[in-house]
Amino acid sequence: MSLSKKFLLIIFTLNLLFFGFLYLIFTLVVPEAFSKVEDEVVASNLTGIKNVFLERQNALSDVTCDYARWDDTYNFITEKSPEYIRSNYGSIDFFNTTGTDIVIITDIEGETLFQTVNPNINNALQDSLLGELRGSVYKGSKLNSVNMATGPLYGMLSTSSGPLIISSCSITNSNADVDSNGVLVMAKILDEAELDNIRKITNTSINYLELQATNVELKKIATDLQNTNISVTPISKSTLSGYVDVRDINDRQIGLLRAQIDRKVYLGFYEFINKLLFLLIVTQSATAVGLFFFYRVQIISPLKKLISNFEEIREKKDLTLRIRSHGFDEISSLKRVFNKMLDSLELSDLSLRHEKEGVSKQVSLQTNELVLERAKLMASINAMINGFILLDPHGKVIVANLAMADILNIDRGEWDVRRAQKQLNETFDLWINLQKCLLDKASVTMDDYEIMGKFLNMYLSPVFDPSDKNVLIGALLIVTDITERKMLDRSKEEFLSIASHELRTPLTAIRGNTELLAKFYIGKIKDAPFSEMIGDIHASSIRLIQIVNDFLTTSKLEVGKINIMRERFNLIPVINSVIRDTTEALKAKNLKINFNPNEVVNANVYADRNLVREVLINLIDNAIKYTEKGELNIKLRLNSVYLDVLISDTGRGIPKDNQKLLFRKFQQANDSIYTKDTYHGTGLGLYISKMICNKLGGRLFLESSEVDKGSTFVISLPQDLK
Amino acid sequence: MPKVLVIEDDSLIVRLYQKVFSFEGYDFVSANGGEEGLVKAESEKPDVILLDIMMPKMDGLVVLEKLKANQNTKNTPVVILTNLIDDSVCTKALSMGASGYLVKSELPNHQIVEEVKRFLPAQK
Repeated sequence: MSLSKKFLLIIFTLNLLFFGFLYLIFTLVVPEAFSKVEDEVVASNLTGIKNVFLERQNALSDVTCDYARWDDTYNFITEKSPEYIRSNYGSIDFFNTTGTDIVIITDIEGETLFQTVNPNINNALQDSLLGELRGSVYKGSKLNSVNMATGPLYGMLSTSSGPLIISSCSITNSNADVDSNGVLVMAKILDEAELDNIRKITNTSINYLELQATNVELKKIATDLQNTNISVTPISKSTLSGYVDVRDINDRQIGLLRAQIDRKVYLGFYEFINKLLFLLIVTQSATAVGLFFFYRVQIISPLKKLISNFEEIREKKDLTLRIRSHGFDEISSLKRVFNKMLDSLELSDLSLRHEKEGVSKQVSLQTNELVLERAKLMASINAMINGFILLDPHGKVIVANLAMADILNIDRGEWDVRRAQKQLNETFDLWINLQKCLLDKASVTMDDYEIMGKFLNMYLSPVFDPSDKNVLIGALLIVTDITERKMLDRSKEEFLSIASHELRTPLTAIRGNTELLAKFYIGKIKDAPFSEMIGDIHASSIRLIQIVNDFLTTSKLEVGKINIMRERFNLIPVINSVIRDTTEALKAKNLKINFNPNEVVNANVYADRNLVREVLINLIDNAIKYTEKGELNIKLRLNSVYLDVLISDTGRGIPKDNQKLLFRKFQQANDSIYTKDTYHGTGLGLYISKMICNKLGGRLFLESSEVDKGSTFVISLPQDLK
Repeated sequence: MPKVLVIEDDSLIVRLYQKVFSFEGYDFVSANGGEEGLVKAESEKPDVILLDIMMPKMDGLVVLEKLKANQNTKNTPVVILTNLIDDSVCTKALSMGASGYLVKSELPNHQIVEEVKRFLPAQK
């Protein structure tokens, strides 16, 4: 909404409120005050009317008393002289001058002595009026009970022919020094003529309304008037009616006087209000229009111009432009301030532009570095043999390398986890495992995952934010193709089976047959070289079988196919039995062996009896083999939770340089691998023994060795601690 | 005279054991393969059966299972005689009812006879 519209709306609203307020005052508050004033005016008018009405009654009473306090009248009561009647009441002049319509004279006993009626009144009315009036004047009646003490009585009297103004006065002499001898009653009909008189005097238009039982409305007003003197009822905007009641001599309400009164005050007030409102509206509107134009010219137009100036600067993007300003009002100040602001903007824009150039150079430099870093990283990742995917926590691929696409048979290019999952089967659900990995914050591994003729190793590891170790940024999936390794393992196993069966079977036949020959046919062979050849064949077959067995044992140990049957047993009998088996070899070399097991109380171990025996045989055989003179010593030693078997010889010893090669496969601790001893020539003995010891949870090591002095080997086995 | 049945497809071994057991005074019967072995185990009523594992058509474990399932042969002691070095096969054979397990190449002739003697009923 534009400022003009807002301004108009505000003025309109304010005027509406102002006039609404005025209207409320003029219709609710002011009329209340005016109606009070009006009521007072009406009340005073009505009081005046009532007074005039009373005066008229008073006047009749005066006339009545004039006649009653007259000696002639007094005398008439006693003398009854017709002359008095004739001269005083005989002509129409009496009625015209006294304003009386009926006269009745009675004596003190209430006996009517004289009565007369205004001859201008029609005869029927004359009779009924006279009759009803006489009914009210009898001995003891209120009208007839007046005397000197009470004074005259006057008031109103209701008759069937209409209301009468009535007065009665006791008759006495003019000096009033004798007792009253009768009563004079005069009455006047309250007719239109009489009312006209009152109207003339009060300058109002009044009416007499007789109270009748049937007129409910008048009854109600009459009831109200029993408490108040005056009742006012508005009839229209210009007139209202005022009522006073008329009571008879018995103080009974017999009728109402109604005055029609013009509402001059009220009308004048409204005329004034209307003129005032009109004037107010005219001046108010004029002010509003004036204000609006002033506002337009002084505020809106300059503002619009200012806006168009701003627009121009914005559109041209020219911070060198300035706004013309003259004058000293607020808008001009605004322009000047804006110009100053443009000055500063121009300056900062300039420096910003310089800075921006610097920054963009910096950014492009750093971007290049980033691109280079990324290229290096991608090259590294792509150079990996392993499949590599970096996933975000929602399973979206962030980075994947080429090897991954190869392993999963996916075209190089765009792809995601869902596509990857299609290439995998249900045994490894990438999505579920990703959730598990993220939830546990631990890596998930699956080995030997066979798919599409390949063996894969799946390794899923959570990746944490380097700056906050608690925040996961995704997961890393590394897939290793272990097919070749598996194939190798398998061929090794196959080799084992084939070698063990196919190689050993013919060897068994050679050995078995040469053994049979030696046993059952040797007596038939006379030729010494022939018999020697058969012996050599037999010895060679035994050695060959031994070599094959060593290879097989090595393979078995390496593949982990060896069955280890752990048991608790005492080592001493096992050692003794091995020593027994070597007796022949010792004898051949003239060597001595010492074993004194008493030093150790508990020689129980937890291991595989046969394997331990094999190791012992191997080590003792070796000791005999490399010792030409001297002795072998076997000792036991407790070493923490282990039981050590020390096998010492007085042989040639092992040079320092060769010691580290001692337990290697195919190595004998000789200077050269080409010069070797011939007894047990595979060089696998120590290697196998060490592997067996390791598998049993123990150790085999060379404790000490000195060239030409001898060596000490130690077999360390877990003790049976139970 | 105790009777030995050797179920073995390799004639080299069959002939060797024939000599070994004959010289030691045993009645020797051989069967070339599992099917023949099953027939002879029933018809020849040997005192002990030596059974090779690696054989064409029917391997020794199957033969062992059938021997033990047959009412007529199930009480005849069966000694596995092989050159396989797989320990799991040994364990399996023993669990299936084999009386013993011998590795051919590891035993000299006389030891084989000694081992077989162990499974024979008391000498008649």
